[in-house]
Amino acid sequence: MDATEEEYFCIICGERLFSPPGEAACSFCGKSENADYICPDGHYVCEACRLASAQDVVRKTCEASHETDPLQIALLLMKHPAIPVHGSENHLVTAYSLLAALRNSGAVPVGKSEFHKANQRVKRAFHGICGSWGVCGCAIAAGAVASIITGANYLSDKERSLALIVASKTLEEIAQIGGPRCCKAATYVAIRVAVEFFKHELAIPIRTSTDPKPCIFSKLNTECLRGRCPYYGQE
Amino acid sequence: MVKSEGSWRLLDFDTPDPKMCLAVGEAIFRCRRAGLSPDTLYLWRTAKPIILFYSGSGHEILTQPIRGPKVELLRVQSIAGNSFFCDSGNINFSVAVDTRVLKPLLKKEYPPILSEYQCLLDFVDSGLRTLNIQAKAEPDGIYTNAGKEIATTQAAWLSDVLLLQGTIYVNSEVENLEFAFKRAMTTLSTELDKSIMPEEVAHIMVEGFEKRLNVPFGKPGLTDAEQKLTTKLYDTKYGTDKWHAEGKAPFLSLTGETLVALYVANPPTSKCRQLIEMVNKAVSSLTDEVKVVIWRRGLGGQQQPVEAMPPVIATLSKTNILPAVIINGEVKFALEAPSESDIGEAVRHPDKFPDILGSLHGLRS
Repeated sequence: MDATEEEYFCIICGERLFSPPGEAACSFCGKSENADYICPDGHYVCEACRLASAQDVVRKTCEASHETDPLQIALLLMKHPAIPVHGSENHLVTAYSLLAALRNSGAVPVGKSEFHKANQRVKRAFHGICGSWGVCGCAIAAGAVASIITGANYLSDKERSLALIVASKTLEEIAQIGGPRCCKAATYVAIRVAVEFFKHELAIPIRTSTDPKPCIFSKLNTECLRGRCPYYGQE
Repeated sequence: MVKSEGSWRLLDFDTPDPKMCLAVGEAIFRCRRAGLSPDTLYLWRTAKPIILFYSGSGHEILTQPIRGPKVELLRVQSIAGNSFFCDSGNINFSVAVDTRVLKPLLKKEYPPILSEYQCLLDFVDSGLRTLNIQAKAEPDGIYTNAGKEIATTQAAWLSDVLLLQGTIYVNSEVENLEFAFKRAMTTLSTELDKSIMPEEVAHIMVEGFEKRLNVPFGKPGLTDAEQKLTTKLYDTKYGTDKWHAEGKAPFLSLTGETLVALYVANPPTSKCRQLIEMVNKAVSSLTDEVKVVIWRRGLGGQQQPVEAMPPVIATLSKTNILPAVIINGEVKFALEAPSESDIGEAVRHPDKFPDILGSLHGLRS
């Protein structure tokens, strides 16, 4: 079998890839290099990102992103093969997408320190924590982001309450959807709840105009709730 | 390809070695999936007492009270079901079937997911009813009206193809089994209050299948492909202590060739392409003995229409170890492309090259 005879499809839009002449910028990390495969819409994934771990691809993408809609960032990240349909990687996606969008909106100073803090906190939320501890890692991510941008800790008054409220609102909505768990639905919920919360409670002008319905990941999810999920729909 | 409709086979293959019977069961299962065999009913007996269990059955400890030099514990390729005991008083069966042919025969009252199991056991039960045995097929076995187990099964799947292996207690020595397995068990002879021979039960069991499927069973032996695969599975798996004691066996291709699985990026990077090219060159003179399959990251288990994904790829994916060369289920090379000669040597003699997964874990942690 010759690898060059294989057909490949864009992981972002699904279009057939072709071999272009010259350079292209990576749709994840932004790095330009001689491109081997590119899609008609210009999507390209650099060699390093194709081999990257979930943590690396999330970090590099969010560092490079100029997108102000956190759901757009999350959807891009979730299309990367290092991010499984389910798993704790989605908790990191939630936290980093929110932080990157907050930074890009210009309303909140977010630097490497904030991303690092988010990583340190969210990575403690292990795979399956929702069922065993009653707390979803995406809700933890929303709470952690609120805590980071308000500087909350366990001695704080209002800031601590705000972190708890955004996490609990997220949890309640995730619980309402039912199970089995879907880490994609949990990510959509956490980002929407956090965006509304930041706007109304903290007057941060962050927004998302992206509608994740119909969810593009349902066909990859063998336990998809289909009609029971608010994000399910025919593509 | 073998058409399944109307071409059921009662396999004619006799051996005193139960390990060989297990190898035959898996060979007909794999060949059915590969389209090389018809749907098959294989009936076999063992002179030596054995217990058949599978990894994760949770019965390894329970079997200890009756384990001894006279009872051999043999591991079965299975994902569900109960451990069971066989001696010369049992009739054992292995059914390899493309379950799509069972669809019209599935009854509404069968439970979802397990319906194929119950359907096949219904065939067995309909045969037993001709003996005036009052019993009911459930998804995991056949039970008398008093709730005693008279037949039990273990199941394995390859896509739509099911291997259901089980046993019927005809004249078996079941006295110690209730203690060992913590299940109420009986035999046909006990239920009928007279002695009945396993051969007679085998005959009515076949009739039960023929009647319910409405097809006569031919009685050919193993095909050449099945014979070759049986020998391979016996030599590398069922004939080894490593399989029965530790559950370890080479992850061969569906039809028994050495399986070289390449786990690469999607689309492949230049390093991945170099690796693919190198592997293809290294195995070019071994095409009859080696199968190369490329698994691209993120595309899941359905990207290959026939071959199953080596389980270790899930670990490689989670720990982000790619590209990697997996030979017969073990990671032999990863992250960097090895030399062509090393690849060739590893394909010819996989045992000479260690499984490096453990050391890679250390690298990534």
